[in-house]
Amino acid sequence: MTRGSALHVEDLCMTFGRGGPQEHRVLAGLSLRVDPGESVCVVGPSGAGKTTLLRCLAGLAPPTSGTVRYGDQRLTGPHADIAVVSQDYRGSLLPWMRVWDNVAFPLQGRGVKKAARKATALECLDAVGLADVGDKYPWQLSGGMQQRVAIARGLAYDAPVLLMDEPFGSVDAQSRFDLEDLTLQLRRRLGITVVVVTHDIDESVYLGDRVIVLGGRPTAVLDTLTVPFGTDRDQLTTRADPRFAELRTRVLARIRGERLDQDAEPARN
Amino acid sequence: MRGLQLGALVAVVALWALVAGAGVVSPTALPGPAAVAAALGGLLGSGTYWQAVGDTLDGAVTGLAVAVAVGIPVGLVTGVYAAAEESSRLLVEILRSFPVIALLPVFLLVLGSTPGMKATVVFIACVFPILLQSQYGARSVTPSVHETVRAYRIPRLLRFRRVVLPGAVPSVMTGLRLAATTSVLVAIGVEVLTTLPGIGHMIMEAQQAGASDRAYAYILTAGAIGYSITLLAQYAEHRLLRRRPPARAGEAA
Ligand SMILES: Nc1ncnc2c1ncn2[C@@H]1O[C@H](COP(=O)(O)OP(=O)(O)OP(=O)(O)O)[C@@H](O)[C@H]1O
Ligand SMILES: [Mg+2]
Repeated sequence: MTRGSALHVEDLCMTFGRGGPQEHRVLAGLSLRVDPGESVCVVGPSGAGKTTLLRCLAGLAPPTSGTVRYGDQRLTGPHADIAVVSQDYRGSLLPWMRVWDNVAFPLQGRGVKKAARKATALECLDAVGLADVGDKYPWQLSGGMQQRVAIARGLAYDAPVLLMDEPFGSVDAQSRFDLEDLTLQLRRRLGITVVVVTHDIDESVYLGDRVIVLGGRPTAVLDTLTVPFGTDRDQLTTRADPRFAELRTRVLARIRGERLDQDAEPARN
Repeated sequence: MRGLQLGALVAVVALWALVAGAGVVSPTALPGPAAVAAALGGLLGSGTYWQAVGDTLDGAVTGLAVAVAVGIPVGLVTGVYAAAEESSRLLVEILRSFPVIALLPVFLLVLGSTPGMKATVVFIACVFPILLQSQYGARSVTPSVHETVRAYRIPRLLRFRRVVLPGAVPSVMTGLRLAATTSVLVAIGVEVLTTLPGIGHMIMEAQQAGASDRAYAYILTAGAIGYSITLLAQYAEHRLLRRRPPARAGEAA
């Protein structure tokens, strides 16, 4: 049971300040695909262009060249099927709206009545472990709580595709595990597609069906790893699996630009 | 804090009494506080006084109200649509740097010495601070919020009502506060320079009649009106912004 369509990225290039003195080629010909119901993690060093890639996937930034397709539509702007949780969670919350209102705001845009959207918002807040802060204002919450509000807003949108940029960076370790499990559980239960950008290599292996490693200058896809743990994962046993350690070693090696013994080709050219 | 402020006020009045009492300046140039207070007390019971206050407020409020009705929507819309703002910027810059009072002879010629002319001059003086602050406010939507609103496909009207408007409130309030003070100043200025009825006119009249205590009573009245407007604006601002993070509310103050 999956929802939505596949995301196809073909030969995506992104150059900022083209033609100017500050020309900066960030992404050079990225191709990848995310299937419906799949969970894909994107890892890569800071400044590699992970956020840029995610913004292209969300239809928020037009690529310099190349295409992003959702199903058979070419994405030229934000799509109703795609929810985004941005890296700047703090700045993305509206200070004059109560927490529940922030979470429900995208639903108001869809014309959902107040009572219904408030109920949904409170449910989603509950899911991220914020059962009783609905009536507060975002700036009255800690950073980690604000980050969870932004995630709740993404969940409330109830889109078949959920894109999250460093979504668990500011939350404590325990909440982080809970949110990772929540993500996996939503994916399993609702059949949504999840793309998570993360710095955390362990997290990428734990969350992803596939891990896409970005790197190089300009950035290209260095490697795509398939994670063989299925949809039922568990913080203790999955992380203790010997294959888990193997995968994380491989991701780490890729990010650091090291060659692995089994490589026929150099990791970068 | 309040005590300190009151103390400063008392000190000023005491100094005033001292200077006036010492006879350094003639009592016609600077009557003592007691004389002015007595004159003001007498005026408070007279119909002419309230008529003058009413005339001044009438011109100030009419001009300000039209400035608000025009400046806020135009400022917000031009602020949201950068292109409209580009095209209007030069015009606004030129218009707002014009000293309105210097244009008074032109207005006198075109509109004549009428209450409508007074309101028009007030309007022109007030509309630019409001317009510019509204423009500024509408543009204060951060890139992060803008992107979120886009990503979640918030319809244009809803975005305007729940994102642009609340985001612009602190800035618009600053414009209003500036304009409100300006409105009374300009109304009185026009009255001083023309024969239009109002506080400014009464100041001139009292001075020409040699009744400087009465002239000062009117000047004090003008000050009191200005101060009341500031208080009112602060109160409104406080009410509107009380649900904001402390830093934001402070920024606007
Ligand atoms: N709008 C923009 N204009 C110019 N340069 C940009 C813009 N957005 C991003 N960049 C540049 O593109 C590069 C990649 O930025 P991006 O935010 O995608 O990195 P990232 O991989 O998400 O990094 P991090 O892990 O630190 O979040 C950076 O060098 C950044 O300076
Ligand atoms: Mg980033």
